[in-house]
Amino acid sequence: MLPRKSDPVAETGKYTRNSPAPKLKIAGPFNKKNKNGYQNVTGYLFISPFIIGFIALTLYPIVYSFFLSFTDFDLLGTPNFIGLGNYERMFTGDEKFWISLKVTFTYALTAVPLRLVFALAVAMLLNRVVEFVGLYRTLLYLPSIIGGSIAISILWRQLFGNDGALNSLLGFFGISGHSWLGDPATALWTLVALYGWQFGSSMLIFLAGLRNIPKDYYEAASIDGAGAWSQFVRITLPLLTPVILFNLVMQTIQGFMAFTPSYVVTQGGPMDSTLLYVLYMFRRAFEFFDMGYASAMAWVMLVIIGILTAIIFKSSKHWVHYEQDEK
Amino acid sequence: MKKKWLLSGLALLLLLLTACSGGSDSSSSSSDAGSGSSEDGDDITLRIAWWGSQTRHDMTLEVIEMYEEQNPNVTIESEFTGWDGYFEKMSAQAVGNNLPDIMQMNFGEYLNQYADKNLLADLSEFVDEGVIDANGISPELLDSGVVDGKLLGIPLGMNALTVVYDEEMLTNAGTSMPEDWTWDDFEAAATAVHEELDVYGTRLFEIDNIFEYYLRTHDARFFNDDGTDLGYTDDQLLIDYFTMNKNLVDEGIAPGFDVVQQIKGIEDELIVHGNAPFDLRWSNQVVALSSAAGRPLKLAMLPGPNTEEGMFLKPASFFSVTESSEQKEEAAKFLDFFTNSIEANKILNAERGIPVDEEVREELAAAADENNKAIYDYIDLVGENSSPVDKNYPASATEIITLLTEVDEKVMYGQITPEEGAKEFREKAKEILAR
Amino acid sequence: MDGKWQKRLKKFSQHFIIIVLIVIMLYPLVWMIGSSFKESSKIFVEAHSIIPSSWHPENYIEGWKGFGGISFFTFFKNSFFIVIVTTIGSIISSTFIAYGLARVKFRGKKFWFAMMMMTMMLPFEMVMIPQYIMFNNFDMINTYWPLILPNFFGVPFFIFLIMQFIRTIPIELDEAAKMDGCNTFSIFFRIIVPLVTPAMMTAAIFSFYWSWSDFMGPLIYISKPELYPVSVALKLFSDPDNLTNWGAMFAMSTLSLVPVFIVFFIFQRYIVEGISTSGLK
Repeated sequence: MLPRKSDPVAETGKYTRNSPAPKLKIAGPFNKKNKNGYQNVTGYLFISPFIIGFIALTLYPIVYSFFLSFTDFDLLGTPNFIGLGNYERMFTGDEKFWISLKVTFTYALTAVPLRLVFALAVAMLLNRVVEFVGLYRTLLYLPSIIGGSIAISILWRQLFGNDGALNSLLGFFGISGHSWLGDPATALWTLVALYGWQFGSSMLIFLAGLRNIPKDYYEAASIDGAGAWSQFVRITLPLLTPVILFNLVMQTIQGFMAFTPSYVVTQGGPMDSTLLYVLYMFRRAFEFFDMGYASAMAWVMLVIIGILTAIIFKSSKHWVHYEQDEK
Repeated sequence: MKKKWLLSGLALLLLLLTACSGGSDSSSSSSDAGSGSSEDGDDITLRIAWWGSQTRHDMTLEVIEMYEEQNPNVTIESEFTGWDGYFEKMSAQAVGNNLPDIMQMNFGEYLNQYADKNLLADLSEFVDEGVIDANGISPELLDSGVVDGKLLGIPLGMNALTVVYDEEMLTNAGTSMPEDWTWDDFEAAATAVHEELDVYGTRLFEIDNIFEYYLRTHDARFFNDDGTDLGYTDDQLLIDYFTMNKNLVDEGIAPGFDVVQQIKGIEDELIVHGNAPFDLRWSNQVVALSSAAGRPLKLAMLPGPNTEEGMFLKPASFFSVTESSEQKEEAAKFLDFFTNSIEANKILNAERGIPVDEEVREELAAAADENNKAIYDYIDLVGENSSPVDKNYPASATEIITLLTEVDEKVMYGQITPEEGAKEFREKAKEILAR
Repeated sequence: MDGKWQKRLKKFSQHFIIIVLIVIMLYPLVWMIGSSFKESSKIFVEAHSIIPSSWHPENYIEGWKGFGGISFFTFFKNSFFIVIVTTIGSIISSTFIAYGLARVKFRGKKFWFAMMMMTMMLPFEMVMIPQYIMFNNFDMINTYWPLILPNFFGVPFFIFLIMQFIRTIPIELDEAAKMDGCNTFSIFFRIIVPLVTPAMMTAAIFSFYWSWSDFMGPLIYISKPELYPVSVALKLFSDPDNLTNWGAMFAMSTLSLVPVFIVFFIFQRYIVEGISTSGLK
């Protein structure tokens, strides 16, 4: 799609809908609008870094990976074109593809809401406290910076192991322990817990969003006699919706593309119960020398995430409150 | 108010802009400084890549320095990484036609893959010409680096499968190590320890290592000669193997997968904690086990019958010269130094496995400490009582071995019977091989 | 009197909940710090306890020495360079692009927004081989360019983040500024940038951390150990098949968190400052 540039000369002197007054003062082509209020030149100027980077640096790898998905590329040799072979094999002859898809959906659909709710609750709590808030915030963010390091892998096994911390705690209450990581029925839930536990980044964004809500709104509401709950429902939640949308979209993308937790803690086991899609894809690419197939898997995942994201964006028109009309 | 914001905003922006242009400058200059190798005269720059841990990096770099001192015209650029990501990085370099002159290589499907793509140079001419002195290397071991008649890697060390055992635990349970033992003896000893000391009798076997040995003792192979099919025809072999394992688990002599899943690393194995007297694994991991355990552990060959056919010496890793290298002979000279120099190997201290050169090995064995000495002795023992390693791994070997461990998991969890497991493995392995 | 006590009780309970939460959350971190003082071969044997049975601060000395004469000083220096340049580049460019996408109406906006979202949906591992080929053709292997350069063209995550914050700013502010004679650019610098500072700072924190912990990128683009950042250097300790110096690794892992911690602690106060729009109106 090519940008339709507005012609500065032809457009000069034409009326615009909003505030015509400043037009006279401004020289240069930057603020020219056409009949529909478009500012094509300005818009493209602002996003030009992205477009340049996209064309120069991002496009080639993406197109190449799309091409690879139709080949038998084995990481070392020359890729041979095999048409839809990879896709055919994926949908008809690969049991693991379906298993990993199921695991990933289960994981993302539970881990993402868990993290979001947790992050919002903690952000709300922190937003109320005045003393030591910087320290609290830092300490609560810390778990997220240990990331997918080896420390996590060792710890999670320590925490959920047969004689780990969780079973000791349960034993204290007289409940007999369970082999959380060893049981295919529960192993995935330990990873869901891990995802929820690393809620720091979402919390931070919520917190910044909460801070961005103008204080005078609350003051006005207080004067009107609105209680805490009604302030939350009438002010906080609506004004936070753009940030909620952001977190929802990003966490959905990240949740579906999650890979390190399963890679470092369970390696997909036991019995494929934690075989996340991207882990399986990574294995196919780099352990089984099956890069062509893995590329095809990546594009199938892209379509799935794309559809989910599109649905979220479509629905957002009904629940996200912007301070400007989005058309 | 507005003005203040504008000013501070602009000041910040200015600061950031100047900061980043300054930054970019130093980036380019720092990279220029590194690539200042000139091509004049006989000056030679070799790039060499390996993976490993801190000890390996330090030792290898020391040896490289030694080589550079002895050969002042040679500069060696070391490109070392951890194990994680090493082969990912190498594939990027292979695709970018940017491989180093020498690279550390893994035995099995990795070597075969790189061979298949003609990425590695044939070293046999250098061995014939005497650039690389391979006389001290046993022919069987050297042959492990040969693919399609080309010598594509010089083995850097040797490993063998072993039963690591805690003699004290066996004595405490009123039993001992039999001389020439069989799986029945093994089970009897494990059972005795389990019953007497109330611990596990053995660690659960890792099928990816042990089943290959088991097949060899039954005159079969994992893959057939040209790597196009499984190397055994009778599924009963796998059924027997599964059944033996399953019984150990069911009787509580070996732990189930739920316990194994929680082991956090070699240093956390059951034998380290004194929770089992036996552990079956590669000989190079024994030092890690015994130093974590803080007590001496002994090594024995795997149970028989037919131990000699089953046991083999495996190259721990190779150094290969890449086909894209323009200084193959210089690279070969370095490999000669690396494998044959006693001085160098004293520094390297068998960290890549027991040295392949006989003379070097004897020299180092004499100076080894108790834990290491046991491994030297063990490798000598295996060297005299073993058959050549199998090297007919197809490109899909990793996938098939992964499949085997998965089937093993299912059988051990009791989801399928050993018979069903053996059948499932064969069917799916054939599918993968047919691709 | 009653109200005062109630207030205090409420405050106390809030702090109590937070502190309990922190204790749970921080257990792993404390464990890691504890492990960094344990004897290397005993880390797994003593994994259940936080406090080492004997103290081994020499892990830090062992670890800091690094590998064959390249100490962690070099790795930290490299990381700081990459991370600071990356963070500055990504925040400036992303804010710019975000404003264009959030506030300026132009044709093709939806298309470019969709493209931007799409680039986030392919895992790096899948595009890294073609990307390597590309940067190899640009002759940028063994330099920091492949790591730094893309950040100067906007990072989709930050663009979208800042966009969402711009959208929470009342449009009347723009209108008012237009009345005062501002053009789009001066609105951006005078109104938007100050108001999205919390979002920019949030992005800066993330950018710092991501770039600091990025492993795969530097691993494939940089081959000279003296150019490695900390994230790659940390992996040089371990080899699953061999003896790993766990103590030194945990010691350096702990140290590597310190800059991230400090940066967070400094930058988070810019998120604290709640911004009141009343001053502007």
